[in-house]
Formats: sequence, C-alpha cells, structure tokens
Amino acid sequence: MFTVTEYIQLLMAFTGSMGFAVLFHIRRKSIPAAGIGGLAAWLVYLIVMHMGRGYMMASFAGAILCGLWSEFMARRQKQPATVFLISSVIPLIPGNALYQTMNSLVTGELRDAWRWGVITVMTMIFIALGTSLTAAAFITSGRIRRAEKKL
Amino acid sequence: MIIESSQLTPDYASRERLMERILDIGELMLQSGAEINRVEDTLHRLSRAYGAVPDVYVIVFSIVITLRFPDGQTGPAPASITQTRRVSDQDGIDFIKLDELNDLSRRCCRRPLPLEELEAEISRIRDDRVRLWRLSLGNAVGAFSFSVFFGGSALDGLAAALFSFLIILLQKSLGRYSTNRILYTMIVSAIVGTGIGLLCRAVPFFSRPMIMIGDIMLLNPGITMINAVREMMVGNTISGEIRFIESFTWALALAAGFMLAIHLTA
Repeated sequence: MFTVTEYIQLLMAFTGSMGFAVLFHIRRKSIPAAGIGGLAAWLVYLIVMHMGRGYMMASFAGAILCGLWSEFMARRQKQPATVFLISSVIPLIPGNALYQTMNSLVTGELRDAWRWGVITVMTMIFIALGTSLTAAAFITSGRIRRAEKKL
Repeated sequence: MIIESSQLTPDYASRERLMERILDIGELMLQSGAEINRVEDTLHRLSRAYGAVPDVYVIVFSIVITLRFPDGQTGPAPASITQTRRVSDQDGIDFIKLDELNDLSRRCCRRPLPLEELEAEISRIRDDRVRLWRLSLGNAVGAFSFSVFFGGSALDGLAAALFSFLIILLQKSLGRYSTNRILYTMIVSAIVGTGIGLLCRAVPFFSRPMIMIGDIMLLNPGITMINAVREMMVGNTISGEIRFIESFTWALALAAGFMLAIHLTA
C-alpha cells in the first residue's frame, strides 16, 4: 500500500531520529525507542495523508502519537518524556517546506514562496498543538490522580 | 515538610554557599535544555531538603530564589537570603546531564549531601560534555537520513553528512566567539550553503536541494519552537514567548543565510 519512496522514508525516519537522539546525548538504552518513535510518527503521518486528510491533520496525528509514545516510554524507562518526544518528532519538522520557501524567494516566485511559507508555519503549529495537547492531558490526569489519592 | 537542617551550620557564609550550589544546579539544568517547570520543581525540593522554605522563579535566562530559614528568628543566622543568577545561552540539549542532575537532586532529597560533596558532584557533572565523536556521529547520521528522507540519493546523503562535519567545525570555532545566536546562525548557514552550492556546481549529479535540506534539518530551530509552544501551554507564558520569538528569528536567520548562499552560487 506504500510506495518504495515511502518505505525508504520510514527507514530514514528511524535512523534520523536515532541520529538526533545521539546528538541530544540520550542514554544508550533509550536510543532505539527514540528511533521507533520517529518511525511510528512518520507511519501515522503517511496513513493520514493516504486517507486524504491533508498535511495539517497528518502532522497533528503524528505529533499526538509522538506524545503518547514518549509518555509510554518515559514510564517504562524511567526517563523524562521529553527525551523521547524531542527525537521522535524530528521527521515531522518541515525541512523541505522551509527550503522550498527560501528557494522560491530567491528565484522570485512569490506565489510559491507564500504557499510553501504557509505550509511551513501551519505544519509547525499543528506539531506544537499535538505535542502540547498530549503533554497537557498527561499533566492534568496526573494532578487528578494525585488529588484523588489525597481524598 | 521541613527536615531539621543538621547539615547546615547556621551561619551566613555556609547558607550563601548552599544557595550558590542550588543556583548552579538550576543553571546547568536550563543550559542542558530542561523545561521551566522541572527546574522550578527541582529547586523547590532541593531547598526544602536543606531545611529552607523556598520561593523560586525561573525564566529562560534568569533564576530568582529566596530561601527562608525557620531558625532565623532565634539564632545568629539570617532569616532569609535572596539571590539571582543570570543564565547564559543554552549549550545544546544534553539529556544525560539532565538525568545526572535529577539523580543528584533526588539523592539530596533523601539525604542532604554535605556542601563539599555537593560541590564536587556539581563540578563533575558540569565538566561532563558531549564527546566530539558522538556529536559528529549524531550530526552525520541525522544529515544523511533526512537528505535521503526528503528524496535525495544515497550520494546526496553522504554529501550532507560531509557538510555536517563542517557545521560542527564552525560550531566549535565560531561558536565560541559568537555573542549573538542570530548573526551566528546566519553566518554558519551562509558558509555551509555556499559550500553545498559550489559542490553542486562542480559535480552536477548532486542535488542541491536535497543536500541543503539534510543540513537545514540539523540547524533549524524546530525543536526549540515546539518546546516554546509547550511552555506557553503549561503556563510559563513569558519563557515560552521568549523562546518562540528567539526560534522564529533564528529560522529567519537560517533562511537568510541559505538564501544568500543560493544567490551566490546559482
């Protein structure tokens, strides 16, 4: 159901996230989990894109998955959730759109520049929304659980 | 929840020293990329462990902390001390350092370490830097992967990895003297971009966009931006906004640098 390019992308999301995990000085035992998070995020992105929901929903869904994965791994490996979140969210970051914006600006195709610029910004907004919402949900549920314990 | 402060001699000097160390821990956490809430929380716990009632306020480049000592009213010691610390720019995210700082503060909360031991531990953690080979490996794998990810060939990926070493070289040389992250990002982007542009003019089967994208992924402030929005969402509006504006300007600087490079070499 996926094309060859997309399989290559999934593989590169895996290695790329691990590369960033090394760069962020993550403990060795957590590096594979970071890679799997990156792969899963891109998998979700591709699935939503195939459903025809567009890049904004795809980024949003991918980011939510990153949030869930990082909270899950944080509990398993007793590390802060950010460790996994930051490296697995990397494949979603719109590097290509940013480049296309710049390139269109240089070549003077302002219409393209505007289109790519909007894509860059919207993608970032939806990634940020997705990760923040999951983080907020977990913080709130933690507080509720603690409050109930006190009662 | 105040533990009796048997570890502390009740004189001004040792309490000031304790505060310095607590500020050190906060500073190191911020510089290694900790979230504001986590820093505030850690400093709170640490201060309580040493028998003080804390009041902590942290934003991205400043820590303000007041410790109130319950025995201050009766003994020779001061009732409260306030200190601030200006925190310089982030060193880059370092999760192992954060982990060790967390571990240290957790140990202190169980059993407050004597000041000398605390000092030794802090300077050990401070000197523990990311090794150069790790940095290079992470950069190269990241650049290669994302160059291929966005549609480059394996050769484009290798070229991107090669230029990632140039990025590290520039970070290690220029970065030490840079006073301003914006200008510095612009210069690094322009140099790296020009290098890639020249390579692609010399060897036509390389794809300039794909190599550039691989290296843009290393330099772009996406992570800072995502963290900034999250800070705002959890209530640290000021810190979040500072980081957001910073990362946005940083992205513009990156774009300006690469655009200059494309102009020069196209």
